[in-house]
Amino acid sequence: MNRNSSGDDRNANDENRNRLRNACWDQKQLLGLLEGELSSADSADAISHIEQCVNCRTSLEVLSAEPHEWQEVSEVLSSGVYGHAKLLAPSISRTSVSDTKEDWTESLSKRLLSPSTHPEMLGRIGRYDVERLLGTGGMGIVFRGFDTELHRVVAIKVLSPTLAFHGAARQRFSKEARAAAAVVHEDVVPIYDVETQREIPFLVMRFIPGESLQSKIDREGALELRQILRIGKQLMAGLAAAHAQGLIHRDIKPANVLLEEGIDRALLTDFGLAQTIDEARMTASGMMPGTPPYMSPEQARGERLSEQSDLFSAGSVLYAMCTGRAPFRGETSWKVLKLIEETEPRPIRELQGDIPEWLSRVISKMMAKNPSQRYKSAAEVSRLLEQCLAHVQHPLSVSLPEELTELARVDSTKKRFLTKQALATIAVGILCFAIGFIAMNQWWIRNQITGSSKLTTFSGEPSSTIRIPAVVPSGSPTRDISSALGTAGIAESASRAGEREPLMSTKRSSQLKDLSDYPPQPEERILRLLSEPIEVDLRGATLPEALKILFGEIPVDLVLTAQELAERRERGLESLDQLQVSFYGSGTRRQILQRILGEQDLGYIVHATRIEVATKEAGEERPVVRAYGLSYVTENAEQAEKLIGALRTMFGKQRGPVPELTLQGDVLIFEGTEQQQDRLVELLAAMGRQTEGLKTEE
Amino acid sequence: MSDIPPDTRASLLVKLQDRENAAAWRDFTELYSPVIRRTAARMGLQTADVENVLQEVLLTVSRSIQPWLDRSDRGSFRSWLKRIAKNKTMDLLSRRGTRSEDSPGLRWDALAAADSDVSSYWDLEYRRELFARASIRVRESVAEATWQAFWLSTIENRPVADVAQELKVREGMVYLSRCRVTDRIRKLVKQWESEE
Repeated sequence: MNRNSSGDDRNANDENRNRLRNACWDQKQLLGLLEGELSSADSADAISHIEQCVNCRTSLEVLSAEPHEWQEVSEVLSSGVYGHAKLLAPSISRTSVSDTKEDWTESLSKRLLSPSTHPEMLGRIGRYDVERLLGTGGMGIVFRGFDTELHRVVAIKVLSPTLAFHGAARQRFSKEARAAAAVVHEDVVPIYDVETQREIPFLVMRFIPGESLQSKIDREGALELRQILRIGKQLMAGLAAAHAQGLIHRDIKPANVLLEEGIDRALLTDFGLAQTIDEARMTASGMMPGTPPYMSPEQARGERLSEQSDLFSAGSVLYAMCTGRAPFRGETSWKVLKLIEETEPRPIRELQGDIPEWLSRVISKMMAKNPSQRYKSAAEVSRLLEQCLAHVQHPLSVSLPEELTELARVDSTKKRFLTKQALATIAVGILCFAIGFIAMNQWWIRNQITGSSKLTTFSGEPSSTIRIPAVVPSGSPTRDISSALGTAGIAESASRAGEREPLMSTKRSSQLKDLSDYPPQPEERILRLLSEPIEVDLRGATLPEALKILFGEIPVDLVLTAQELAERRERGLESLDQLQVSFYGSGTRRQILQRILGEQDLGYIVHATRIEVATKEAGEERPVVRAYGLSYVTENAEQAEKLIGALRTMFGKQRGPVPELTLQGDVLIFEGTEQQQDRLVELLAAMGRQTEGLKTEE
Repeated sequence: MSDIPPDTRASLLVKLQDRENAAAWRDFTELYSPVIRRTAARMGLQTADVENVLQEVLLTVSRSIQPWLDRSDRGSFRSWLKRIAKNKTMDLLSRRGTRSEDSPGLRWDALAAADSDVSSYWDLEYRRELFARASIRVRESVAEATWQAFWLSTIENRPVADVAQELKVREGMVYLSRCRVTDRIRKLVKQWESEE
């Protein structure tokens, strides 16, 4: 279409203009409009046109900014806390917030729907007449509609236009919607139809008359025991059906549990769709999606989810039914996530004394921080709750499930102990990775400061190489460390530890007293040591000497940046060993190290175990790294998962595809680009493991 | 409102070398203090700690800007600053997390994970600061009616028809205004981001 066609005749020109007013504008012309470069007559035409044409309006929006930029502008300016943005609001009358919200969805819904043939209806989408708005959620808008072919009432969920622009979100939407449609169960809201080819994708579900569990809790507060058990049992049964299809819900919360009016039935909805929002929102603004009070700890950390993650969230829903409130609450999402990761919710029976102890225990187990300590499956919980319900209804003829009648209390000391150890291990893992990333594209030297052998422990030779410096003061009460750590090697060296000569001078060891309470994990000790203030005189010492004064015989490797190295070379300091230290005074060890080494990134590494890395394979598309020697990690499933989770999170934050990471037995299998592979090797090496070079596996 | 562009162009940096140059310091702190504060606050630090972080970062910059500028391989100012801010924040977090035995504080694993969080929060907060500043600039450069149409329709989410009626302009004008303003804000942010 040529808008600039010149007509000799004025009339022809006007006619032409009239015709063109209704024709769509191309990108170049819209850009001109946006930048104010059109003639005023053309501008006026364009403005008339975009008033009527949704397509051109959308194109104009797309041309002016990416969806995420629209969102950023809106977030920044509406929050009123950035810069002096609050001063930017024009001084004109305002309607109240609640009004604008409603208006917005009304107007938006009009934008999404084609005009209705029926005056009673809001509009039409596909073969469905849209009757009215039911609600809006994070990802879209739900309408009540009528299927004109099958003559039945339906609920239509339309993907929010912001997300509809997002290619990945669209794809995920259709993929997940199709998967969810495959779940057929009386406790799952059935999906009738999925339409993804249209400009705005939507899905059609059975219309459930009734309300959501959320609004019931809002209205009634804590529910009655039988109701809790019945809804809980149905929720878990619906979840089990989805899990059987390999679907993880990801967004179990009271708002996604519908209670059908008239009959006692709870139905789970919004299956697997949460990921659609996650991806779009995360990429769009780097923001946490939605309000997270029902997230699992692994979800809060952004790790990969499993069926057990849904169990945690379902446990939180049960908690909310028992107490009338979500288990974790805080003013900001960040706070809530921190609470989820770090704290136990307030005991249910403190809030609702009439909830039986056994139910509170079931919920606690569902909400265990460690996924492997939760129930094995949703089906198991569903059966359990069903039996409980039967017991409550007929207490004389049906007894409680056996597992709930025994007091299955784990020795709490032991439990705490294990957690500490696990934390220590993973802390070092993540920390070293963090360092690895700081030191990205930098190289590092490993400076073996002390003559001590590597702290290694791996299957086959558990006791021969471990070495624990003596920070446990001799005569301190002996702990049964072996049972707590499950590693004979550590236990053995710990028992020898008292015989070793103290590494710190007496003056300093007094500051280390509280360490005797810890299992002698060298990693954690290093971390603690780094944050502890001490007073030292390092004047005249070389760096190795200084490190010895600071850390005793704990082997510490320093990681330096390329810049730092280059500088040192310039000054003729090839090796850090030659660095003369002049520090004198007090501070934490970390501060002292920073002072010694300058304001540079500082890494510290402790040797903990050993790893072999091998690459191959013939016939595989991408090279695979197999890291052996992870036995010390895999001896404890929790640690292994955390390690893998940490790796995933780290790689997930980088550009490019997220690599595949799996553990098979004690072998870590890693599929990623060559660059990622290099980084993995670097990271593993940086974790203090010896890289035995790259070799081909048979 | 100061008119400095929120970038870290050489001119500002050179001025920062001169510790007595109050204007340069004011510009610098005006841009970065909110970023540093919000990043630290997002990490869960208390107000007093947040102020400590800010103080330490500014002190370090004032002490080290000269040697840093003298380096040939110095990289960008922004990433240098980010690194300092990150170190200080982590330092405080770790001190807080380990000092007291009674309060749970931050556990080591959380602390380690926090390291990468600081980084992404910093980026997020910096970018938002840019958007806010760009908005201020754009508001000054467009007609009041354009700004109002943008604000009411985009920030307050009011229906275009209402906005048009209230401002007595055509609906198409409201559509165009919101796109024009958003476009300019976005472009300005982009320009500043590439001006390193």
